[in-house]
Amino acid sequence: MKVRVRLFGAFRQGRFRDKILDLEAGITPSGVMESLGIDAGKAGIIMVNSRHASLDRALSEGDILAVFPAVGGG
Amino acid sequence: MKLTPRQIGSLEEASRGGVLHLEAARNAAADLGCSLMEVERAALSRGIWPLRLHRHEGLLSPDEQLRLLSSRVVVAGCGGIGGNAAVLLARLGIGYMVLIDPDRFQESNMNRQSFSSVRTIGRYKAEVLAEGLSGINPAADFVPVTRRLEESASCFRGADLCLDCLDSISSRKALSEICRKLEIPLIFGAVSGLCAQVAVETVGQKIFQSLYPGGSRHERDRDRPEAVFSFTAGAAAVLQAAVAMKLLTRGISRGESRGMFLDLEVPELEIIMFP
Repeated sequence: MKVRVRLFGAFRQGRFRDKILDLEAGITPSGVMESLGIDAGKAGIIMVNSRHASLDRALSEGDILAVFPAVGGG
Repeated sequence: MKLTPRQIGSLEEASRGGVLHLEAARNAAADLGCSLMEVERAALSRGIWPLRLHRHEGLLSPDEQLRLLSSRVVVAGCGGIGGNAAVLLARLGIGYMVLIDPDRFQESNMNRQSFSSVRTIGRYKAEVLAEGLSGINPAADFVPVTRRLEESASCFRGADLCLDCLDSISSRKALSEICRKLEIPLIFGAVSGLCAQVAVETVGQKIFQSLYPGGSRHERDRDRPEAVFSFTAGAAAVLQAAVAMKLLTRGISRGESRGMFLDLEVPELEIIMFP
């Protein structure tokens, strides 16, 4: 299935900003991050189709997944 | 404050042209035996703008400005984000602010923190900030708190809003627990590199876990803090202040949370809706 994946901040380094990926059906945001070599523990906000979503939500064909790094400085 | 007709007459006399100059407001306060804040509130309730805030006319109604004067805001953390946010809120006319930070200014703060300078190194950030803000808004009360956040819960009582301007994920968790317990809406603010993140947790919501699903497991070392520019911290503060103005003047609905993620590298701003 095709999912549009958008990466933000430091997650873009050595990867991409915005790309349509062909992924196995039912993959979760955690699974997508693992396949991209992103440490899920460093993730902050996860968004599917412009709404916040959990790391273990099953993605569907045509979804737009956005992955933001955890931001903690002040 | 209930004014007599004579006092109203003297206030209107002091505010020629529909605006109230600071000096006239101070004289009126001395004549009436009340505080500068009471005079400015009385003036606004009659549609007379303190000159200091007059450029808000057209953006805010006198009633909305009056709400800001009557608002109590806690700023947790007086570093890069907090110092900038507090200045913006003071200029907005917020009448009462609690400024919490146990740290003193040091040389490494000078790339981004408001009021950090060769003249303030070694002094408590909260105290320096309170002094600086009282020059920006002489009618308001600024209360510096130099205790740790965990020992400052009593300072949150009666607050209308809290701004998270802290520098660690674990202290943010503690702050969100305090605010949830006391039913105070919280505006999270955080930065890293060229990215700034701001999100609103209204009463009855729990978004800390959504912002930091990994909790504080991947917290950076205190000895190796986040790299950050002055303008990134400033951008987070700007977003927080804009959200604070809207929430305080137009009311805070339960269960309506949004977040913003600003990447200044591109630049781009993403809006995040929380369920």
